[in-house]
Amino acid sequence: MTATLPDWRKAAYVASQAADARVNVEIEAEGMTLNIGPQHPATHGTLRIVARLDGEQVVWADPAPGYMHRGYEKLTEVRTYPQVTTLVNRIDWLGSFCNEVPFILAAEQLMGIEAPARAQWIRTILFELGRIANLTLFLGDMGVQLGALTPVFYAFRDREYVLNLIEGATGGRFHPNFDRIGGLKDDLPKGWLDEVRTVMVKIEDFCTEMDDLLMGNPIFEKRTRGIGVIPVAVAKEYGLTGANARASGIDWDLRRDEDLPMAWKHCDWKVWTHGDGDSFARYWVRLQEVREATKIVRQLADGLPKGPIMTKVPKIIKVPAGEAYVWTENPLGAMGYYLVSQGGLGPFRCKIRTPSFSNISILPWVAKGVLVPDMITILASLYFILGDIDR
Amino acid sequence: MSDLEVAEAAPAVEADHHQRILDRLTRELGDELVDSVLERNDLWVRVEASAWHRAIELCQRQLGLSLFVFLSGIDWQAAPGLSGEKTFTGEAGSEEDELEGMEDDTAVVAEMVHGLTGGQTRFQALCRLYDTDRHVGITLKADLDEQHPAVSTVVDLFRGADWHERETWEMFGFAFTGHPGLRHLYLPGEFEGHPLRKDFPLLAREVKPWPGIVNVEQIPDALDPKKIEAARQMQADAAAATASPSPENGGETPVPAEVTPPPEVTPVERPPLEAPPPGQPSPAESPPAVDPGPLEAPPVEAPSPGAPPDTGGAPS
Repeated sequence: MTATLPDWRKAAYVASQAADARVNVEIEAEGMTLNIGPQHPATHGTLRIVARLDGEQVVWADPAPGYMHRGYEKLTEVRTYPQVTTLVNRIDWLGSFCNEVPFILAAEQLMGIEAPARAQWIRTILFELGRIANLTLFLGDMGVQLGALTPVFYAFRDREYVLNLIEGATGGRFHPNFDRIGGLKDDLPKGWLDEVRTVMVKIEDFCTEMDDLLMGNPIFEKRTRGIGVIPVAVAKEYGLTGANARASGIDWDLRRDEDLPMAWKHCDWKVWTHGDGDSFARYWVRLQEVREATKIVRQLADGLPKGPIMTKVPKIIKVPAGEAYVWTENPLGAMGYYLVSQGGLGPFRCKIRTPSFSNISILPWVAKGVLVPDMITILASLYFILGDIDR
Repeated sequence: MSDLEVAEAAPAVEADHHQRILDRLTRELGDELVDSVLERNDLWVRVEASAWHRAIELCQRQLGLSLFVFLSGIDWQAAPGLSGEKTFTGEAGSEEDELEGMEDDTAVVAEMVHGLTGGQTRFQALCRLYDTDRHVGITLKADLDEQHPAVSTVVDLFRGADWHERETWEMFGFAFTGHPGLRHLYLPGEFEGHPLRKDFPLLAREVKPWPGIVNVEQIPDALDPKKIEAARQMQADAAAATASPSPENGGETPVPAEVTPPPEVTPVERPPLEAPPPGQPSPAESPPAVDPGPLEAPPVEAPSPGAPPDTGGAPS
C-alpha cells in the first residue's frame, strides 16, 4: 500500500503507524524489524521473536529463547534422584506431573524395578489429569489469540476443577512432586475417585462448549484454516511431536506405541489425527485429545486395582550404571530423559528432551511469508510453554 | 460404560528391527562403526566422528529413522567438585551405614568412565533418531577430539538440528562444521565458557556446600512426629500384648506411605515435613493383625457395574 504513495506521505504513514504500535519498532529504509516480546501476551512467558517485516508480511522470524533458562541439565548433576523430580516439575508448569513420570520411569528402568499395578494406574490418572489441566488452557487461550475472549474464561473456570483434584490427591496444585522411584508418595484420599467422575463430566461439557463456540465460527475458521501448514516430512525433520505431529497426519502416540509400565494399555481410547496440518487441525486434534483423556481417566477410575502403591526400594536410592532413554506422550508432545548413571546418588548426565523446544524451532520455517497476525495464530496453535523451551 | 478390554496390545518393539538397523549400519559403515550395544529394546551405536554425517544420513534416508529426536553431547570427565559430594561408599541396599555414607562428601572419582558402547575421548556427541512407523529408536554416538571437539553438521539432513547444534555448541563447545550460523541460543552473547562441561564450576555450589546445611531449630519432643510415632508404637504394642496373643506383628509390616525420605535428612537436624494426614490411619494405629492388602493384578475384565466404588483410602 505504501508503494503507491508519494515519499512525504509514505514517511508520514510510517511515522503514524509507528506511533500507534505499542511495540518496539525500528524504522529502516526497507521494511522493518519488529521485536515481539520478551514480554508479550502471545508468547506465554518470555519468548522473544525478532521478525523482519515487509509491510504486513513476515520476511523472516527468529525466536530468541533463553530469557528463562534455568540450567536444569546442569543442576541435575548435583542433585540426588529424588531431588530431581522437584526440578523437573518446573519444566512444563501447566502439566507438572507429566514431567516427573518419564524421569522416574527412566530411573526405574535402570534399577530394574517396576511400580506396583495400583501405582501405575494412579500415575496414569494423574498424568491424564495433567494433560487435561494443560490442554483446557490451550483450548481457551487459542481463542484469545484470535480475538475471542469468551473461551478463556470458561477454560480457567473448568481447569480449576482439575487443579482441585490434583491438589486433593497430591497436595500441590501446580507442582505435585508426587511421583517416587518405585511408586507414589501416597495413596489416594477417600472419595477422590467419585470427585474425578464428576469433574470428567464437567470437562466433557467444556469440550462441547468449545466445540460450539469456536468450531463452527466463521471467523475462527477463516483465521485458522490453511494457516501455518506443516507437511509430514518437514514435521519429522524438525522433530515435531504430540498433537502438532498428529495434526500433520503422523499416526503416532507414545501412549499407544511405546511399551511403558503405565496403564494406558488397559483402556479403550483412540488416537486422533488430522490430515490438514494447519492451525485448525492442531486445535481440533487437541480438543479430541482432551475428550479421549476424560475417557481414559474414567475407565481407570472404574477399574483401579487394589494393592500397594510402593515397591521395595532401598532408603537411599542408587541407580546402577547405565544409560536409558524414556519418553512419554506429554501434553505438549514427546518428552524424554536421556539418563546416564554411573552408579552414584544422582545422574551423571541427564539430557532433557522437551517437546516445545523442537516444536518452536520450526517457527522460522513456518512463519516465512505469513502475515503478522497469522504468526500469532501459528504460535498459539503450535502451543508451547516457555519453561518447556528454556528448561 | 465401556468395556475395559485391551484396546490394542502395545506393539512390542521387535528386536529384529534393531538388529536389522544394526546389520545394515555395520555393512555400510564397516570399520567406522566402532561399537554397538543392543539391550532393553534399545540400540546404541558408536561411530567414528568422520562417519557421523554418513551414519545419520543412512538412518534417515534408508532405514526409516526419519524423526529427529534430539542432538546433544556428553562430557565424560569425572567431576570431583560436583559429583564427589554425592559419592556414597556404603554397600548398596545396606541400611546401617546410610548416614555415614552421606557424610562422606570428600571422596573423589578420579577415573573417567565411559557409558554404553565405551569411548576413547572425553567428549561424545549424541544423537537420537526415531521411526514413527515401526516405533524403534536408536542413539548414535561419536567420539570427539578433546582439544578441538568438532563434527560435521546434520542441518542439511534435519533442519531441526539447527537449534540442537546451537545449544550443544554453546553448552559443550562442540563445533559443527558446515552449520549455517553457530550463535548463542540460550546464553547471552558475551558469556564465557561452556556450562555443561564438567570442569565448569556451578558457582552456587561453590559458595554454599551441598546438601544445604542449615541451622534447624531443635523440635520439641511433643511436636516431633518421629517421637510421637514411637510413643504410639509402644502403646499399640502394649495393647496388642494384653489383648490377644497374636503372632508377631513385625514380620509383614504394611507398606509405609513414605518409603523414600530425602536422603539428606538426618533425624536430628530436620523432621519429616508431613505428618500423616488425619483421614488416613497411620500404620501404627491400625490393628497389628491386619493383613496388608494382597496385590491384585489389574483386571482385564470389566468390573461389574454394581461393584462398590473403590475409595482407595487405606494405605495398607
